[in-house]
Amino acid sequence: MRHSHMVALVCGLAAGTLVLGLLREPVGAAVQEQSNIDRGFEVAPVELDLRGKNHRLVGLGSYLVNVVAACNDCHTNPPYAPGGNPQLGEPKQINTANYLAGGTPFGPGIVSFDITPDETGLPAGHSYGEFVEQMREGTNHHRPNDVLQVMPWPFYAQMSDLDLRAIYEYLRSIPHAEPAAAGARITR
Amino acid sequence: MRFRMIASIAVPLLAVLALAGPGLLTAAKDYSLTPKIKRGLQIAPVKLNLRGKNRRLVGLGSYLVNSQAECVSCHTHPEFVAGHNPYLGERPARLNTANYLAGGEAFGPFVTTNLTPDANGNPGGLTYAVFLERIRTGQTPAHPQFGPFIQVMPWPSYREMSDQELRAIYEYLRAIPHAEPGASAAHRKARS
Repeated sequence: MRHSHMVALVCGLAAGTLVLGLLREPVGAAVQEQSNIDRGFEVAPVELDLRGKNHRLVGLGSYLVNVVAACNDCHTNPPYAPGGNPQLGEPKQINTANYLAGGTPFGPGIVSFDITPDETGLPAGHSYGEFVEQMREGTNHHRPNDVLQVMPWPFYAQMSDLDLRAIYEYLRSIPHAEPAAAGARITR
Repeated sequence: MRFRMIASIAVPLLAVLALAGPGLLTAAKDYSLTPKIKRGLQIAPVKLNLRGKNRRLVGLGSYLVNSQAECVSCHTHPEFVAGHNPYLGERPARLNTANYLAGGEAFGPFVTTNLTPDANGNPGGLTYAVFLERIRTGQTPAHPQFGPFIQVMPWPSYREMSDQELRAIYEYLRAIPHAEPGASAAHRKARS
């Protein structure tokens, strides 16, 4: 083998190693993100309207809403269908009839919002800009003089734009729902 | 001739690489961190002990604990330093780092657990295997009078997280300082 070939080979190998090293994490992250997206579609408890929506964002949003950020826990009342509460040792069954329709009371005057799409398709009636403002600043669009209480927005505020967009897109794709009638509510 | 030409390029290049190697490696390492990991490392509110730990997992864990899954919200009590509580419109918000993730918030008869490392460095005194089992099965020996299942904490959602994410959370909890719960009531949020 000629020297020039040898040098080219060594340089090529070095460059290749460097590039692979640099790509290792982004590629790994992309694989992980894809598995989160797939998992998101698996765990979505309602039928999704994907027309005109970015599937990857919706899947990621479902993963965030249903798994990592556990939005269901406060925004679905009661969170589980009768006989489907894992905290009582029952096999998990989300209350899909009132899914994300809010109505959980947290002390005087504080009730979790209905975050399902309104008749114009906007989650909780909010534009994306309003949603982001709510998550980042705690703005209460229902009572503009008040800061949002209970909802852990000071922590969600640090989510990436991508994650917030994904959550919003998922909430756009779920069916509209109403909170359960007060009498029918099961308090945890 | 050709060899000389290549050598004249390659030799200085390799020399530069050798000299700037450590700096380049650090830059490459940072470049290779994903946005979530980077953000996680940025938003960690306490000094992290990264010795013998995987920085990527700790970063991802921080993003999960401090933002996405907001463990801080129930497991830090009080959540914010007096005068810096964003729920009261006080800015800038300042997290209570003295009692960070040390638990002690009451939800009826249930009190959040201390998630910080014990004397052996195990978060909440749990090995990874036990931590994983707690999250995946929701079972706890903490309050037998109320049955075997963890109440209040939304583990039925968290249990669907990937192994990598749960490992990341555990690694982050290993990296934070030990803390004790704060004095009660003063800044308690109205929470069921």
